[in-house]
Amino acid sequence: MTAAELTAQICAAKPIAPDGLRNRVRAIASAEPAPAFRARLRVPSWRVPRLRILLPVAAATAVAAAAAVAFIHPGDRQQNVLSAAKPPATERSKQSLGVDTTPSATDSATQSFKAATVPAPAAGRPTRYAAQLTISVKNGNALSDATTRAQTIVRDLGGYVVNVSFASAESGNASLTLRVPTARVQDALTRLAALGRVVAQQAQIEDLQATLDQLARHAIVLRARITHITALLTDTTLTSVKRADLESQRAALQNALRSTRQSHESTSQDARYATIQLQLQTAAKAVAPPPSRANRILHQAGRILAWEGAALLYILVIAGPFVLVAAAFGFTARARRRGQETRLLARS
Amino acid sequence: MQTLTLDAPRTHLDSAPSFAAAAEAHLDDVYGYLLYLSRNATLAEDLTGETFEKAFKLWRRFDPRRGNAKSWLLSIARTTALDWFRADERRRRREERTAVPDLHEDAIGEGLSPELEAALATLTAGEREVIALRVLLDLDGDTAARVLGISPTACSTRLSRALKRLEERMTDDSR
Repeated sequence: MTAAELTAQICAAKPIAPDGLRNRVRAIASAEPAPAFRARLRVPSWRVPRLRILLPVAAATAVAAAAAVAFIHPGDRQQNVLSAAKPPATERSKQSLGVDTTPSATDSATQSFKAATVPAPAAGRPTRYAAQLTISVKNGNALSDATTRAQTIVRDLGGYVVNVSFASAESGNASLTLRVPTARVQDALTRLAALGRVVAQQAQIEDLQATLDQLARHAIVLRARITHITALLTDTTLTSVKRADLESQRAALQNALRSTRQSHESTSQDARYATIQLQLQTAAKAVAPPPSRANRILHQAGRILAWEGAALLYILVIAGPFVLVAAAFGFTARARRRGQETRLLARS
Repeated sequence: MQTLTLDAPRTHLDSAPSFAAAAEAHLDDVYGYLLYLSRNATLAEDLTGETFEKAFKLWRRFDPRRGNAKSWLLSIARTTALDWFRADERRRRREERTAVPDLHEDAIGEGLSPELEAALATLTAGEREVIALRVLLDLDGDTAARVLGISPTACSTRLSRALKRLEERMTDDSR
């Protein structure tokens, strides 16, 4: 007999409940009105199909909550605005010193420094020319390189370096005092400006012609007086006291003449060489513009999501072992119960 | 069985049968299952009565969304039968010295051949119950597995083995 025939015979011989049992069951059912099913709060069954729904719903809820909170409290914008409005330290120092920081000078952000923006020394007239130049470079390496190149430029133009101060730190800077022939100062400024981004510039020009003329006239007067006293001293009739007095006056005039000549020479030297104070500094970090509301909402939502993730991780770490132990107990008890049932049914 | 009013929203309660209707519809199924399981008509009647008493008390917990009344009643019937088997086993252990089977085995159903009846008697209760659920009551694999508390795969395996053993017994008897 095949399995199909067996099943057919089993199905055909379905047991029928005896009348006594049927009446008994009817009596149970009609004993009192059967209470109808009432909707109640059911403990969710942690089955995989439910998890497939529950997990995305939980994730969506977390994201929605973060977005809602972030939309209502998008973060403190004031702080960002203040930090953006606060000028860098270099900017503040420039303003306090009254350095020329006109927009055209500071905002150009170009390396093509226009020498024409600084007045050129008057041709043919002795002038004292002093310029201050502040240049920003990218980083510490660029700062070192620019310092070396600045010295090379000055020497190439026939000038010299008076002093160099170099400090390389997180915000490095270098200070150089340079002297270049006045006739080539424009060239020097142009080449120095190419070392980086010109942040500030200033120039002072002082005409020295009057000073030199005055010193020259004074020297002439002194020489004339010295000549006159020298002539007086040739008189043999002078008393010893008078001679000593004239010699003393001549010595004083000669000292004054030497001093005048030195001043003239010094002033002429100032006229021949221009002084350039070169400040090199690393670029200040760009200040981020104040974030928009959308950015702040996204940022805040991200922070809330991160917090939710951390809280979830914390809960998992704390509760995970307990859940695993409970699950192990549950599975063990279930397997044991099934084993007992199987053995029981096998014996029966 | 639906008692809808115009104002009442339609819910799953509307599809829930009354207990009396469910008992009337599935009495034979429960009795047949228990008869296959116990192979004793008197015991099957007692267990069936006990099953419906329990079901009547638990009827408020029956949720038609989670399964039909038939599988729900069969689950209660199985629990009731297992409780009885456990109690019977404890009783047998206590009375081991006078261990004389006090239950006689009845015919499972009218219409079964004596050979098939004898072959069914050689199967274990576990094998008979899966045959009862899948063959006699024509439950699908998932529902039968839910009643038995095992996976559908395990249920299919158990049915296959039971039918194979039954076939072997029938072949042996016919030789």
